[in-house]
Amino acid sequence: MAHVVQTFLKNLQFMHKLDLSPLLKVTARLLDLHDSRRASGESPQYQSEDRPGLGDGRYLAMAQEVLDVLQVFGIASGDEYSTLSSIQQAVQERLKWAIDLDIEYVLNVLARPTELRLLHTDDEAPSHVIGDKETALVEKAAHVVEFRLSRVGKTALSIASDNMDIAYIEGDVTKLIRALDAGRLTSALGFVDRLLMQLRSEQLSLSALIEQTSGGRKARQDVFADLETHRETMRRTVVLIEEARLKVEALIRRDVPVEDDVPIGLIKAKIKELSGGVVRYGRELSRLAELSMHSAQSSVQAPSFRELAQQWVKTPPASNQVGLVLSIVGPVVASGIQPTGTDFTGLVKARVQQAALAQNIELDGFEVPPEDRFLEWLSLNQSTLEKRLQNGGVDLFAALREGLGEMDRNAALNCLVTALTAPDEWVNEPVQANLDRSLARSHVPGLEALTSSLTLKRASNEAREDSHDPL
Amino acid sequence: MTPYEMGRISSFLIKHRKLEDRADKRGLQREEKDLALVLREASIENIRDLEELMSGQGFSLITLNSFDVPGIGHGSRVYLLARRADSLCPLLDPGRLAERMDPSNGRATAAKIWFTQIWLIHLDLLYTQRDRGPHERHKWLDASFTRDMLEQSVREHINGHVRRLNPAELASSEVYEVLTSEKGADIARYTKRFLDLMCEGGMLDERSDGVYRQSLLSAVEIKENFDRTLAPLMVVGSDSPAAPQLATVSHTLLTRRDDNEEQGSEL
Repeated sequence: MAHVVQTFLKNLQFMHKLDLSPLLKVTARLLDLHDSRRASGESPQYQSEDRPGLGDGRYLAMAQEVLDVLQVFGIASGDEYSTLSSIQQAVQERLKWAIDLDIEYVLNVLARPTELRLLHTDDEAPSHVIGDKETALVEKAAHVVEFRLSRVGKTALSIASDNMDIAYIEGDVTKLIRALDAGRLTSALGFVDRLLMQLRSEQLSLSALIEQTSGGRKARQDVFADLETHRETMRRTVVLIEEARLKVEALIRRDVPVEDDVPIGLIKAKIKELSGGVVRYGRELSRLAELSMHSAQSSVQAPSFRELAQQWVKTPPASNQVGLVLSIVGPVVASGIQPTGTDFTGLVKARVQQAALAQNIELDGFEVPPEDRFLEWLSLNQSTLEKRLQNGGVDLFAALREGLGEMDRNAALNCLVTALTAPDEWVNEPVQANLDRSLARSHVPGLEALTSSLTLKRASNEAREDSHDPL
Repeated sequence: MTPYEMGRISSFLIKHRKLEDRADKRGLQREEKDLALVLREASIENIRDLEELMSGQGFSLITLNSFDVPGIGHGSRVYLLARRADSLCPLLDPGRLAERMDPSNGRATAAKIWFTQIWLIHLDLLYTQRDRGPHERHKWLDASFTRDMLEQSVREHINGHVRRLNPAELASSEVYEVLTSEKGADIARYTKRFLDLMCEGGMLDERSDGVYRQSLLSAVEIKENFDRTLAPLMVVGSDSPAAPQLATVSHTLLTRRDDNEEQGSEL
């Protein structure tokens, strides 16, 4: 234990300072109500404001240190009991004025359970009072004077150290993501509700600060010192919330069966609201940063309207001037004939839907144009082409003369040129095409063509070695 | 949102200046509930069209939710029609002030003087006494006072300040003349009429008998328009040595008073 005490004392300077005052504040009035002797139906006035005690706060300060010390000892020793002397030594390192007997007294009080009488209400059964004695923050070992934190004590410290600062919002969103991962929708809803409540509260505080700053009433030094850090946190939080949103989408898409009764759509809507809220909070922080750069270095008082009233007694402003002010910020009522819904109905024409043009397509009478009938043309002329290719090659002019440029008395020049320029469609052996610059005029039905000479030949061995491209 | 619905919303807002979309719907009119639903389901383009329509009539359509200002529940929205300082709305009538403040005597100037003075004292209660700047909209929930407080403040202003001024120096001030000719019951009578007018105009809400609170609409309009309405007049009236030059310029720009102007046109 001596080693633990030494380690504790060494690390004392790095430890988070425990503050029990929030716990005390939130429970003080509740305890007053618990201890109230007022009978039902008596006067609603509350008068017993006296708080017995020395009023110097010494025992509470010692209790704070005792609990903190027990927490550290418990972590180091695995919830082992700590001796009274080690606790006294550690507390006295922090509070020089604390004497041994006082510390022991505090430990004895913290270790003593007191019974609370609570009204228990069931949905169906009649309500009844139950006694709850699980109130000791410290447990005392049997037979020896040693102490450790009780379960309630740990809960108390956990509540006291729970940081609601918006700067830690990332951690809270991460908890939300983990809850969604595990399909615990009730917990997820609790997290997102708490986040929304916290964000709303922070947003309103920020708006108040902006209003004070923009009105020139707030001092510059009152603005956040670490604005940029805050903004960065919000940017990262937006990414995390997007992750949470995707988790919800995945839950909906996969239709994962969840035991909770919480509708997933509700969580989705709240996450969307949270996302918008965080984005807006980040934007408002930027606005505050901008405003604080131009704000005065010291606070100014609110303008005095009474002084203005006094001023106007001595030097009244012009009537039209006051009339203008009152017409903008004074009370007014609607007058005359106001536009109603029906006024707009005649003015705005409803959009008329255009009748769709009927399209009558008779597939029976449709003739495929010759350029789209290459395969048909090829089946008719492939044997002729292959014969020509075996006998020296296919020449465009010669083919046109033989009538290969037409089909069913229609021009089929495209088909012929396609066959000569894309021989892979019908030739299985290597071929080469020669393009001659000489031009010749040809006649095909309905078409006067001026073409250069194009000849397709079987590829020679040299040509095969020179080029892999048949054309 | 159809043009017909947009017309209904426009008409409702001009008449009431506020349209609430609340989850509990208690205290809402049937028409208000229907229109709130239309607005909630309206597209961004529709809302933009409505804003432009209202802008053309001299208003700003301001939408507030629980993240904007205290006093609006989670999931609720409030649509406010705030006047714009750069354009006057022909559909609103501020001209009934004198008639309502002094219906029997018909002394329009005296009625306006009473209204203006009580109005400034009431602003003092809502802002100055609370160390609240005109831009601090968020404090509207706490901006309340009783009729007695207002009466007492007006009485202190008249007895503690106005009556102690040197009459010789204020012979030409009709404001001085009207306030010092006050008889015992005048303050209570004018204060009551003032409060009725303010409640009717949507600037104050009567919370319970004799307890009044600034409306959200009033807080929003003061925030939006203070800099272009009252602020220049306060600079003119300021005795601080820091502002004499600006005060001189503002005075010339704002008042442009003729030396021969009749006292009856003053307040």
